[in-house]
Amino acid sequence: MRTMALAGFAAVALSTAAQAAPPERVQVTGEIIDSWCYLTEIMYPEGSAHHQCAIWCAAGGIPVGIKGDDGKVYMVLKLGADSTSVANPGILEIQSHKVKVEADLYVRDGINYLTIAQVVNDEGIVNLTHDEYGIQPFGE
Amino acid sequence: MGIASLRGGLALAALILGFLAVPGWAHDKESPVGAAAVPVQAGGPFALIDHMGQPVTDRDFRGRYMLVFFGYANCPGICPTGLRGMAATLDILGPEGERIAPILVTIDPERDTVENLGPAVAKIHSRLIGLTGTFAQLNAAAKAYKISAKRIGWTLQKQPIVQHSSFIYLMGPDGKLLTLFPPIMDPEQMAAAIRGYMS
Repeated sequence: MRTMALAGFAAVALSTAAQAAPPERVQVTGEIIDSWCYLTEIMYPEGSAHHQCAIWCAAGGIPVGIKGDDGKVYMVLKLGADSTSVANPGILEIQSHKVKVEADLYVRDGINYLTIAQVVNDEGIVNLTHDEYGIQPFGE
Repeated sequence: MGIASLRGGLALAALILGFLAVPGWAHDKESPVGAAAVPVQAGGPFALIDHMGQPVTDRDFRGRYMLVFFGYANCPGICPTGLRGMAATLDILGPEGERIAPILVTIDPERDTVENLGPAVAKIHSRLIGLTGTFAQLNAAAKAYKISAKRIGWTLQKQPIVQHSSFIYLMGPDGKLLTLFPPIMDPEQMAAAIRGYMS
């Protein structure tokens, strides 16, 4: 299991809206991941070997994340004009893709949340791990 | 597609079993000046039926915090993970947790009837409150909380596959959204965060 320190939680956890800071507009580059499998390492957590699982997990409502090239993990709340799905399980089409997104970053309770305004660049699946695991990642 | 479109049953084809204590998501950058604003707007009035068969509204919970999760009792995937996480969080909070009403709002009213919800929620936590209702009532609640639920296919066992929102909402004593938590969040971390809001 991955260990991710909850750095500075006590310092940033606030109880009143009056103390809330506005989000920061950022560009994040990284791989779209299935947050559950990534954090728990139940299955091959990244790349093409995990593509099918990632789609099913996202379809089931498991939050989708981005493993950033900066080493951080971001939780995706929204994509584009999606305004009805807070959990945003609908970004199936870009699961496992390497993307660059423009988004608002909300850091709250030690978690990095993104509401994505747009996908600036989509390189597709570039993390080809399926040979390593003997997985057929894209079906027959 | 709303909850009403989910007739025929819901089954989640998630692949993971059991409760998982997931450590917190990395936040190792310089802390901003204060936490960011809540990234979503969610919550609002609802009028539903609890697992004891009693009508309840959001106003019945005024003065208490609410941990609200939308899912369904027989979900084999993210729902039990989120709900068990909520249960573990309550246990960690101990007496402090008595100020919180943990709530499961079903997205499967056909299966999650009053008769079925009681035994189901009792298996998860003795204080977990199951809420069901008519499709119209549940659709209204889901809309207020910006919950989406959509049947997207079928398993080989001919069970529907449904994608649905799965974040846990922490509502304040005034019924307004304080924050949300991922369903995979470590209960210790969630409990610490809740203490921060309750203090």
